[in-house]
Amino acid sequence: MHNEELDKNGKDLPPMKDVLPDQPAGTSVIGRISSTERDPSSSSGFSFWVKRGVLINPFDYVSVENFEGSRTIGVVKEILAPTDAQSHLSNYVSSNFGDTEAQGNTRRVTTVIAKTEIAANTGVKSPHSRRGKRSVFYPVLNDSPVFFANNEEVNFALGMDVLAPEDRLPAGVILRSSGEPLPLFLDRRYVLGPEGAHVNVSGTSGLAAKTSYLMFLLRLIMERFGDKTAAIIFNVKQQDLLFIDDEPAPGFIDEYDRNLYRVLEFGEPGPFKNVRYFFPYGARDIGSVYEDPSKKQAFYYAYTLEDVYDELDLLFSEIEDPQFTLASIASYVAQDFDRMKFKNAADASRVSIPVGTKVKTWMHLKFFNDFPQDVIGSGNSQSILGRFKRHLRRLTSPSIFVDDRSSGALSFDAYYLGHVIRESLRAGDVVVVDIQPFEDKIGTQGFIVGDIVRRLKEAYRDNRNQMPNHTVILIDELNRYVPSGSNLTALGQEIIDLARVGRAEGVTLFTAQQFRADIHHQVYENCATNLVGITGSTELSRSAYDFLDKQTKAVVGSLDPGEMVLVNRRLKQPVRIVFPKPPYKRQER
Amino acid sequence: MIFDSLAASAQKILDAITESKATFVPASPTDEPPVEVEPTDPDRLRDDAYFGDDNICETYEIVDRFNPVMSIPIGTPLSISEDNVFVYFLDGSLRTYYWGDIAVSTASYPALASEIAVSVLKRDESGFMYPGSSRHQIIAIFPFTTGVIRGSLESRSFDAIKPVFLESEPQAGRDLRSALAAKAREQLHVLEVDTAVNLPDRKDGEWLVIDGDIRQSSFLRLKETIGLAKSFSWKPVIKVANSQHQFNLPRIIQGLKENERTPVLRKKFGEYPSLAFWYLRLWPTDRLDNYMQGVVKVEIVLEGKWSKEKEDLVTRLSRALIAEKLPVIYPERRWHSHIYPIYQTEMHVKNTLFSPNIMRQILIGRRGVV
Repeated sequence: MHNEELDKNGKDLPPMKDVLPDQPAGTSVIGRISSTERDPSSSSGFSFWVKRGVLINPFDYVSVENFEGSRTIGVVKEILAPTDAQSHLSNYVSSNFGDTEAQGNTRRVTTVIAKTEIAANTGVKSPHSRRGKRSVFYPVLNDSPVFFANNEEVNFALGMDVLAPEDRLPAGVILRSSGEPLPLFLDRRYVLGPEGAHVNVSGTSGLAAKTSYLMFLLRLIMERFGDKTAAIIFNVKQQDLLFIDDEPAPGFIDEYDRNLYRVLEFGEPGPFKNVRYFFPYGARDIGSVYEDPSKKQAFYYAYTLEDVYDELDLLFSEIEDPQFTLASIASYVAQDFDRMKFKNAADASRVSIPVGTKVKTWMHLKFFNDFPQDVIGSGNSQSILGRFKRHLRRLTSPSIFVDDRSSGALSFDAYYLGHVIRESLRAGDVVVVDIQPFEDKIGTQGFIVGDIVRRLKEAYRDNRNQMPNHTVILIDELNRYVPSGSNLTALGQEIIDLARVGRAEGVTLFTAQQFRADIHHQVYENCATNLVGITGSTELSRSAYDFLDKQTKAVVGSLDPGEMVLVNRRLKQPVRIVFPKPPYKRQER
Repeated sequence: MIFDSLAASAQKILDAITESKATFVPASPTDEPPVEVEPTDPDRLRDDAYFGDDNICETYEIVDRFNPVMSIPIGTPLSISEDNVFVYFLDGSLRTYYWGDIAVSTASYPALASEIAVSVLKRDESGFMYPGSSRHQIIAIFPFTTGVIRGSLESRSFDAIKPVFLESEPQAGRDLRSALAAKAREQLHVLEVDTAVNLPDRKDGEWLVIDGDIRQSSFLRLKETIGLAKSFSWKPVIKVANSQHQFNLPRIIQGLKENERTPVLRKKFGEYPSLAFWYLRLWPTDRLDNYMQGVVKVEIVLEGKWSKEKEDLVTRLSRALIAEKLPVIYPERRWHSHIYPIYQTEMHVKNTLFSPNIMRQILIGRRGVV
């Protein structure tokens, strides 16, 4: 239950052990190393038998003493429970040849064996190392006692011990079979740049909570680094992200979530601030979304030709253009737009303008025929232009393509998003662009996204000093815009370009899709942080998931909603995390 | 470190031999097998020896002398939840090495070293087994019944390796090396007895099962103890008391069905008159290769005349043994007559033995002719 008194004073919240399972950490031996002839300890891993009564799970951290007092810290990858039954037949015979009621007096010898991968070693003194110690990857010896790793050891194994406080970005909570939950801190330089950037989340729709994770992470970023960061979020599903500055419904953020926020040192979780919503003119009425639109910073967006004359390639990106005729026309318009004038009287009269008038509107362009011959090519110019205009009419049929955005024409102002991005995006801003009404028009959605991406890159290139240090672009269902395969659209090319070089320019992609293998590999390969929620085994068998080992894939297949496996370039091992619900109002379904 | 102590004791023994003006020729690690081969069926060998000269057994239990019934149903298995009969389980194991030869004047005598160990596991009411007691010894076995070398060795004290000697000359023609190996098995038996007798914290009603026979005087003093043999001699001829009826053992075993036992028997003229035994079928023959499989021999000390109490006790013990047949160790050898807690005890004791490589290195490595 939501309780204001508890919220005000985090110390009064019930301890995590009352909410989540807990065992004392670090002090008792939980087992001993078992190195055998066929499965010896190695420089990369070891196995240990687990003392009866000790609960252990994959992704638990354990610690073993090693050479010269150093400690080797490992991550449990797989847990086995062998017995001395030589085969399944032995067990069948032991049931008196298949009597399900048969019971023996003695329990079979069995134990639990935990197979562990080495994450780190605390090191031995060495003058040949910056930190004064060199890690040792000597195999741990048979019978060495094993302990649950304590907080310091886990932080060391994950590289969090050397993270400067100003670079710490909370990214989730590590639950352990022993000890209090531990916050996972990523190095923000590997999330927002410049060392690394971009976050990709995949997982089964409806179960993996992908968007929730990205929004949670973004909320923390805006809280910690909002003085340097702006965000652009695309709403693609119903009205899911159209209330992110509203308080969540009572009880939505429950005790479990509040405790997780407390572990993450997040204090009182609240909704996003400084949010501006942009709705597609003519496709969604602001009044149908908000009871009192005046309390919201909600606006319409639209596109005139003068706004986007240089981006017709984005508009036509889904059209097959084997002879590059459309590309040629788009390029001409982009470069020579200012010089495009009606020379033909017949054409001018169709749009009721005098000869010599500059082309300014979509309508003008639809009737303009005075393209140079070298633009159209040697083919049948009537046919080529006809094709161009047919596609132009179709692609600009959505209501957001207008000839005049002014309030005089539309009865209220509609903004050009590119202009918003270039001129008014500041640190701390959150811009939500609603593109859900065009979910059956992938081309239109792609155009809107591509336009913003392109203008953002231009802004960082031309006006860096005015732009925030970082801008996060959050795109869900990325597979719609950058599908796998060799045929890349203009939008796909923009996003891949952003994935490759965006970190240096200050732009970070937060992306999500159900199937990682369905997006272009250049996107996820350039992501410094990848997360996987619950995913089916068929999907996990595809090469896009080769960054996970077999044991981690087995765990991924059984994650709960709200659990993820996170892989980050700065971390030595995948980490299993839980995260709280993002603290804003959800659309009532 | 135990291995340092072993090496020191071994060297001390060799020094004593040298001082006795004898020469020690160590065994060749390449020419000799790593471990002395044990007989494949020591239980049956011992039982054959026991019934060798006199194989007549008589029914101790009262049996109809005119129409003797040699297969007695015992009822349903008795689980530990109903009656926790067997709590302790004891087994011993040994590993014997050919150490070398002692050359004296015109003769040479083999010397063996043997690692013997005994484990006792205790079972709780939930069916979990725990270590109860564990004993471990290393002995050096010499054939000298008297003499200077024996005197030299007996006059010294050794920490880790204890010298042991034959007490009587072996039969003429008997291989000395095998006689020494038999001595090692005898010492194991002594250690088993000592372990069983000195079992701490054992309470009344907590029965002890010893793997093999209990034909040793010290065993016979133990209360609430049975010997359980997975293998036994086929030589016995069973005579029904006060009757002309007699049967050979295989014929009786053939007639046993699952969960049936023979009458309780005694050796007619035996060294241990209070030692009684019977045979109990654990598994039906249709699951086995032949009808001699799936049967165990149970030995127990029973004083005085047969009584209803003794019959009830035998029934109780037999029902409890039937319940011990699960789980099985299939497909291990003799799985059908092995009970799992004894198997666990066997595994435990075998794992307390040192690696043969280490033992050979201690005994034979880095030693030339002394």
